[in-house]
Amino acid sequence: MAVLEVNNLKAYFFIEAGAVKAVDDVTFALERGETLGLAGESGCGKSTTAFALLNLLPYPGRIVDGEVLLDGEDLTKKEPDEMRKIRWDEISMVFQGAMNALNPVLRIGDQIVEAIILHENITTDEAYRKMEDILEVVGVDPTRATNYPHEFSGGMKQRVMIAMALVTEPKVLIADEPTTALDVTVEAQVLKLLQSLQAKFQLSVILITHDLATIAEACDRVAIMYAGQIVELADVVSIFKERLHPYTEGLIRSVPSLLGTEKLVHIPGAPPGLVTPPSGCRFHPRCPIATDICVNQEPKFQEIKEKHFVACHHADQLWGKNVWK
Amino acid sequence: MTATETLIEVRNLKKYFPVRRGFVAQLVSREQIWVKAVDDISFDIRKNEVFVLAGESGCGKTTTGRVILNLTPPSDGSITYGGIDLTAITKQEMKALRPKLQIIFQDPYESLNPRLSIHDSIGEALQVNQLADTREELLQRIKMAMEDVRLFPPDDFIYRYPHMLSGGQRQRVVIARAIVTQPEFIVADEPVSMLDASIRAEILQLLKDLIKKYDLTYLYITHDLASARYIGDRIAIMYLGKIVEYGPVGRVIDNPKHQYTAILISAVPIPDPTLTHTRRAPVGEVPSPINPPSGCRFHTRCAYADEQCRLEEPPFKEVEKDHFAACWHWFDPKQWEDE
Ligand SMILES: Nc1ncnc2c1ncn2[C@@H]1O[C@H](COP(=O)(O)OP(=O)(O)OP(=O)(O)O)[C@@H](O)[C@H]1O
Ligand SMILES: Nc1ncnc2c1ncn2[C@@H]1O[C@H](COP(=O)(O)OP(=O)(O)OP(=O)(O)O)[C@@H](O)[C@H]1O
Ligand code: SF4
Ligand code: SF4
Ligand SMILES: [Mg+2]
Ligand SMILES: [Mg+2]
Repeated sequence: MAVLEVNNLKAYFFIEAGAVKAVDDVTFALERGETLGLAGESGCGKSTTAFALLNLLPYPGRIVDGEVLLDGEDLTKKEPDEMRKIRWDEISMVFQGAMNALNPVLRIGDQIVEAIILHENITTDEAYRKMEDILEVVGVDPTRATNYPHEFSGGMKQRVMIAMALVTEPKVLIADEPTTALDVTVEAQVLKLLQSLQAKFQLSVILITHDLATIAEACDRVAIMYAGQIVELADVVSIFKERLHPYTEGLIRSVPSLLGTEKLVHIPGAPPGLVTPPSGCRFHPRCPIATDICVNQEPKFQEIKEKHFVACHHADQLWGKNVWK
Repeated sequence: MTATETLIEVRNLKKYFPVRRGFVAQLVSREQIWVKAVDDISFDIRKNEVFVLAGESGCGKTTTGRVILNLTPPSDGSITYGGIDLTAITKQEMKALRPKLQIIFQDPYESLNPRLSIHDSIGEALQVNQLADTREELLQRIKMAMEDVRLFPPDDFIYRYPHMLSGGQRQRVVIARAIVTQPEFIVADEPVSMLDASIRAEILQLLKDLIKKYDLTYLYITHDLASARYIGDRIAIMYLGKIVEYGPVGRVIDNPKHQYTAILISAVPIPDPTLTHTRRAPVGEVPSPINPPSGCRFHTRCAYADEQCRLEEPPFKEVEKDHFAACWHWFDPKQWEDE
């Protein structure tokens, strides 16, 4: 059963230039215990989706339409103080760039202890012990707990943020680029940590990342976003092996490999502005197989094969072919 | 200009940070303890090359970059830039050099002033150094830099503040800010970590193109070996404050000789969910840089460590032309064959 159901979600930012349509009709479900990857171009609306799920959009952003059901309850209808309880206890989030949310004048250990005491009814001594345990779990030497944030490297701070999001043992974790600052060895540790917590607590995870290797390694299913919309959604093997959307195809082909020096695809043109996104299919100005219908008509997001959803007029053409030659 | 002219010479560079300790600990011992973030490294950066510094989180990459740009003084050692000793020059002289030496900070969330619009963030360096004569020229150069980094269309973004941008968009502002003054040398600290593969490939290409256009040289800091290979000419692998192996990037990655380099390379994930290849990773934790292990610093995690490794620090030896490694027992791919 799905823990989290998102239906026709729209979230816009209202600025002088107009409405930035950062999330524009997004629908998906998160199953209990699964990891759903959310990938896509920089600026396509991944973080905004996360903020909207938590009903936490910063001004001038607003949920314009749609619902977010957590175990059947619509979070978009909650009052701010109800929401505060639900965040942390039920859904918690590691924000992108959150390592700077650490208070610069407080020691790392004290900050974690503060978070623990705020959410759990335990003594200060117990909280300190728990803090040391959790630092160890995320691979930070507990003797460094007396350091201040600026004395930690980027990767170390990021691990502290993950530790803080997990101390309350939430049902759903939204992790926005949690491993971006981490090297591959620590990243592997953190992903393994998430997996073990998942098995233990039936934790469901939305993993936002632009890193396809992380997706391949850690996710059960993947949603690919482009210009505010999900354009493809399927299990991870289908996304990598049978991708049906030209954007997904281009994205996967643009990853440099360590050993090869093969020519990389790069998708021509720039990401579209989201104030006036292109007509029809938003990808049409950059798509190598676009036709008239793509310019005039928005493709429906539909189930083309079992549990494989795509929004493309010509998805059938892509089957097993490289359209990016 | 010859291909191998040296732009930057780093010699025996050290950077130690004092560790503040709790009250009780200070009563027990008065001895000052240090985080040895960078501990005696030497290398040259050649003109117009991309010199990569790679290694695990916390090994001292950012600290090295900051010390080289004189953003923080070294504890010991010297840095010369085109013959000028950066550790010995006056504040005035350093100020004159500043626009030539730029840094793309690792963290775009921290390094952009939240009160400056994108226009002002990028334009600031041009204005401070009087590099634009008129307001129109200023605007034009800002917009050009924005287009270079694919912040498109510029008018959609130029009067926004950093919090109104996505992570990767902020990162591109930081890049635009560094390139707009047409510097000679850039420390690029994980400059594309927040970008998706497609934009990343474009930005890396842009950075490469600028080498010719502005006669540029880079110190490129990253833990992503695939992008290092894509953009880099030579690479140095760091571990716990020391360089352990360096050489042309292709040779080091295809033919690693230090045991640490070899395992780091095999830890790189491959974006294919059906592959169940064994990703090796160094066992255990990175030891604390406060009390680094004796001998070879990697010995606590190395499967091939012996007595000599524990006692004696391995010297650099030439593996092949221009490629050096400091390891007592060079890596041989056969090692892993029967595992
Ligand atoms: N406060 C804001 N005001 C106006 N526009 C905004 C605001 N915050 C975000 N945006 C815009 O909304 C779009 C989506 O941003 P979002 O942060 O969700 O992208 P993202 O997919 O997370 O990208 P990245 O991978 O670069 O982090 C972007 O084009 C961004 O410029
Ligand atoms: N101002 C400081 N005071 C004390 N210790 C510091 C300071 N700055 C850095 N360090 C320590 O020095 C070591 C090297 O840090 P540095 O930021 O250079 O690592 P890095 O290689 O850039 O790591 P990452 O890949 O995570 O960014 C770390 O142990 C870090 O905690
Ligand atoms: S709908 Fe048309 S333009 Fe859009 S991705 Fe499919 S083929 Fe390309
Ligand atoms: S010197 Fe010894 S311990 Fe160090 S990497 Fe080489 S074999 Fe391993
Ligand atoms: Mg984001
Ligand atoms: Mg760093």
